[in-house]
Amino acid sequence: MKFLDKGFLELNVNKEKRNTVVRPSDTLLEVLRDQLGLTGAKPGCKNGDCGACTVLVNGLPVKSCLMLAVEGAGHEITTIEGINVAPMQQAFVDEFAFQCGYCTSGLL
Amino acid sequence: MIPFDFEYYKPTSAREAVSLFNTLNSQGKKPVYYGGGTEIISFSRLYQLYPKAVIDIKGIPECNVLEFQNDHLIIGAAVTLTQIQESNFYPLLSWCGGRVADHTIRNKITLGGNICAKIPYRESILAFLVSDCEVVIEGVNGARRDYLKLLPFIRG
Repeated sequence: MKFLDKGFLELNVNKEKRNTVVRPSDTLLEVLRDQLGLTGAKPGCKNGDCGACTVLVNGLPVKSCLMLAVEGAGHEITTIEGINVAPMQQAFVDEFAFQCGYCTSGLL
Repeated sequence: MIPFDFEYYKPTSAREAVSLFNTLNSQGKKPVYYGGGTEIISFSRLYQLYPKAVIDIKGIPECNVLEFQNDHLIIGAAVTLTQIQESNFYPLLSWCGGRVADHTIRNKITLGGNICAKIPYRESILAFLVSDCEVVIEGVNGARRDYLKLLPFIRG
């Protein structure tokens, strides 16, 4: 597989096939937020330290700021928008486990 | 954001990757092999690294091997530290590798990248320094085995 310049890329996000136009050097976080409107994953340090941008790739948590969008091709990506009242989300609500809430989607 | 463009290649064999590297290198594109990419992305963001091409090795079957073959534990360069830790074939390596970054990044960091990294957090090397290990490197003339010659890689 080659991806030489800006072009179409199909991504499987939250069990939907979504078409995006990406540069090979775009990170998954930028594409999720700016093109797909999924702003639940947040840019924090953009360096893989803080975890605010965490999403699931094939069920495993990965920092979307340290992953290229092209790497996501053929994998199942799940953002906070694709998690529907998981037990952990309910626990956060019940225990009021928020301060400002910016990183909460990453924590979940 | 990475403030420049690069070309992305995902070859399906080690030979193809090496010939790609040579071609791109002769075109002055300063190619880098891309495993987990965590270091490449963070360095690129800071303009400390500016390749015009990256070669993703995750599509090469040999780089994804993690199993025993004839009493040898074979670990591919693109195997993640999480996979190593969970399979736990070599507990010292699991323990050392388990101390790198945090668990979400270890889902991305690969063994090959951790050994060849420029950043100093290369804990998994320790397990290899105290064991009888060898590295297999694909070159222009085919694969080559190097016994106990890990040190040149470690210096980066």
